Amino acid sequence: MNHFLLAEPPPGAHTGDFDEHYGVYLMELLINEMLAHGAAKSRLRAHLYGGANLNSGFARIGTKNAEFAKAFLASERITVVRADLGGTQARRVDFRPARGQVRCRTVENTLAPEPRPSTRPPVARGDVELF
Amino acid sequence: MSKNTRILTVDDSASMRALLNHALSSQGFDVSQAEDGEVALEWLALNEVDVVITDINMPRLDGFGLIEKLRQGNRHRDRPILVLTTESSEEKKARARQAGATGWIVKPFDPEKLVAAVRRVSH
Repeated sequence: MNHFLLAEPPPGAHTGDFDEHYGVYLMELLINEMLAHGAAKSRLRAHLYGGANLNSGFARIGTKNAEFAKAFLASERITVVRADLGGTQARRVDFRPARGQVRCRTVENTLAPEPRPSTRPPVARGDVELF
Repeated sequence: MSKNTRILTVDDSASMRALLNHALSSQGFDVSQAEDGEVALEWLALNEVDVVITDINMPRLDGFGLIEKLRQGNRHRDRPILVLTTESSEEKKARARQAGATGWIVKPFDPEKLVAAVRRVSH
């Protein structure tokens, strides 16, 4: 399961911009691990939950997250089995990976974690080493 | 008149290919793309290129296999090959170096650092 908050823009970008580099990176980590455990890309299926704009005063980060996720899955040709996106309410998702079962409920926004900047990967961003 | 530097990027993720294409084409590079090592080998058999940028984890032929195959022949023995990967282990990095990679770049990549690295190895 990938859960992005993705509120952190790339350095030098405008606040509220979606960091596509980071979203693609997170998805690649997830997919590579799945392939390493025996998954085949053609058999991958996706569920999308979330993308609500919880705070009307902020940039529409939820909408941008949802748009990224849909565009990513379309370009990677990964079928979306079920999607419950948008709105202004928080969601709680229970996922049973072995059976592929998902339950999604909307909950009070006070139960949602405070948005906080996502941490960068432990390695420096885009480190280059020439041999 | 200087010709544009020709780059082949090899990555199985269409989203990553789009990001790479944008980052490199916008800087004046002539970009071609392959979706795995096998496609890259077929393309390289028929086309000339100045720099290869390859992912590691790919179906059919991965980045290590691609580098080894390119280094076996005469034609690409000295071709700059940059690895661009989410892998961060020293063991994998050492393996890429041993296979004959020219450099190692960690994803998510910084477009400026990537372009600087390409310029450095292509001169």
